[in-house]
Amino acid sequence: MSSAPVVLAAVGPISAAGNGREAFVAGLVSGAEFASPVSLFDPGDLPTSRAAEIRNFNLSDYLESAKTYLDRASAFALAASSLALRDGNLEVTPENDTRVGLCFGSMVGCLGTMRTFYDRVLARGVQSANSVLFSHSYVNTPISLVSIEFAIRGYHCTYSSGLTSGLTAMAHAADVLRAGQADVILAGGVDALCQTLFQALSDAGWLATDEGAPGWLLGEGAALAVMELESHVQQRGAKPLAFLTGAGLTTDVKGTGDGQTRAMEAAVREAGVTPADIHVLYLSANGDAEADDLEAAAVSRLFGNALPTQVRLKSRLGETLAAGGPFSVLAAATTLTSGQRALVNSFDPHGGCVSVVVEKGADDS
Amino acid sequence: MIRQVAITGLGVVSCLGNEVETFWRALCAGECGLRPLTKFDPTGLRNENAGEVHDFDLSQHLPDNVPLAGLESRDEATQFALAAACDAWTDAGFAQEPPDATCTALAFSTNFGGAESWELYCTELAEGKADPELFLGFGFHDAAQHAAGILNAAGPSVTTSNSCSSGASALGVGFDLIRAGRAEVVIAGGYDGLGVSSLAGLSIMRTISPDTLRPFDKNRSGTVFAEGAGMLVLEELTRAQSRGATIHGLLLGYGLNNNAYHLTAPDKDGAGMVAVLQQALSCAHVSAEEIEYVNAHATGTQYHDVAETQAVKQVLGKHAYEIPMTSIKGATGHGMAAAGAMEAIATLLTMRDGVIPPTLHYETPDPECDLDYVPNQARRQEVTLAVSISAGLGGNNAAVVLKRYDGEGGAA
Repeated sequence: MSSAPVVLAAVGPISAAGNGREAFVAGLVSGAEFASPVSLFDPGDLPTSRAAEIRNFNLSDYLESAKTYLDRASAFALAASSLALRDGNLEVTPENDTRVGLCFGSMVGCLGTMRTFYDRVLARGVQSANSVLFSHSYVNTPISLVSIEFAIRGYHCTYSSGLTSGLTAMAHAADVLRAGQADVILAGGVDALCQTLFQALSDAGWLATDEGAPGWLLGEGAALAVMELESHVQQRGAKPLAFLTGAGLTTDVKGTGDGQTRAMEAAVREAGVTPADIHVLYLSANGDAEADDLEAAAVSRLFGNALPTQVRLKSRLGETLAAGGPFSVLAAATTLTSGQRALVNSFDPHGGCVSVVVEKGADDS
Repeated sequence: MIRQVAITGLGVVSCLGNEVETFWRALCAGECGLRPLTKFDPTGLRNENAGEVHDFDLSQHLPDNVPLAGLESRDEATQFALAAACDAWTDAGFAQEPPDATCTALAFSTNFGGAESWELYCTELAEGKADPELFLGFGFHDAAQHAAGILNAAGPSVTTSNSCSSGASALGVGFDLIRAGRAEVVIAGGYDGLGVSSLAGLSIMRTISPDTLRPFDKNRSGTVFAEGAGMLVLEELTRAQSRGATIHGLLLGYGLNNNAYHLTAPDKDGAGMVAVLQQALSCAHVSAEEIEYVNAHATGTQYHDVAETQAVKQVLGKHAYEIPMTSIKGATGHGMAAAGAMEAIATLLTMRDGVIPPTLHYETPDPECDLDYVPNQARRQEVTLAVSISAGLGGNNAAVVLKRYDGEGGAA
């Protein structure tokens, strides 16, 4: 298979920093902090009360059609898709609809709806199950709704590989494009906050506490990019925003950081560059002391003393699960300057490792 | 040079048995694995039968050097996945001579993850305090994470969730990992466990039949769900050849798409399935006329079976009437994410033995389903090239093209 660079032609972020390309970039460069007391639900007596929530989100700002019921993750996916398609001036038509694809990652899918559905079954029995809630509770519900909303009939896959889900989706989308299975793919990740997730991760001791114990600042959002081969971008008269030039996917089986190193090495190798050619490193670091130390050691092994500029996006956007890696890709694609390259990491505490190289073309805007 | 994908290992955990040959013998004998549910009270569901896995013991599937300790507490669905993956691994000969860890990948799939753990977690929450380990055990990548540790698979680890086309989609992702040079060996397939939550939802949607599962029969009234796992070892062909592996067949190509029609209703004209079949044939570089057998998704629902029949007729033309098209779901039940992988395994065994497994519970022909469904009794017939179709809630479709391996280089 060719290792041709894949174009990142447009972006669709729904994030705590802002929604849409301009607001997202403005939020990133503002230096503002996005953590605040949770407003979506009452955290009760949990030791954590803060998260990086998306505030004032209205799906009607992004879609013309009204929806009767949507999980928050599905709403984010629909809004981000709308933004990305508009940002890329990509029109899905009966002529191209089977050549336009979707590759979305989601770690927990529509968890909030899944819980609501099952609580009702627990309380009232199986005959009281609600079919609407059930059909909106799948991990792949958001991507299916996007397919239906925008009549996207081509390649279609949902990835649920923990924190690496979204960046896995983007790396696989690049391979699918190179293999000729699609002309253009909307790829990235989506996950949403809900009380069940917040409580489970708090009870597991994964969240930073109000009293200062280290851990994740939980976040949420959707980060999608329009990905396509350069020939297709030229054919439709669009302009590349940046390029995804390499990817590395590994597993850190023994918890030594070896997988993290190999993922970064593979991505850099596939991009045809060396670590010295990387200008910015978007870390996976999310406040998990052990995982952050493993990543730091792996970074040292790869870069030695010549460390690139390091960005910890999750310290502001929060740990957005499947959207985490893609948010870093979007940030790189929209903020790198001409000729710069970024290495983006997405590592899961259970061993999954994905890294990609994003490059801003020499003449890109 | 395009890298070809061989299949060198198979593993099954199912209501027809927990090893490949038991599963296959039962399929060919026309046995049905659907029986009264025992793992929970089915009162209120549209059907009190399902395809439960019985006599399951993970320790019987683990390689000799892998201790059971800690694994027996994982969710049962995860254990199904691990058992089938280990069997496929052993079948490939890797228990004795494992491949290089960094070249070994996982492409798993599931619809409901650790469903039993999820239900226990919710039950405990309703009572006031829940064990967060249950929530983590529900995680969709829990099985792949543990398989990576057991099998020392340090390459890519991907878990997909494409509703009931998941198993076939995992094979597609595994295919791509080898084609792209990201792995030499991939353990790929799907798994799911039966749970109150999923069956309650599928029952209230009337997807479940109050009768039995009758693919293509005029009186079909829905599906009956099952649990288990199907796993295949995918391996770069020249690697498999050079080590003298038993090659069960070749994965020539695949397709994945979406109907873009409705979240729960099938697209009655089968346009999505037409497109996915064309996508898979194009990827495999084979023509419709070369297909000799179709392993259908056919779930026994009124609309789906007609739509699938129409799609196959549209893509294969008159040739569709000249070849058999069967659904094993009358025997296995609908194994959700496991289904596509189990059906790929059945298709490979069809090509190995020259036996078409029958479509069970087929009694009354439907004029709208007018192909050769091999009703109720297996048939001897040589098959060298076949396609297996999967579809699922949300409008997902998948198709994989499989070829018998006759010792050649691999190109169809």
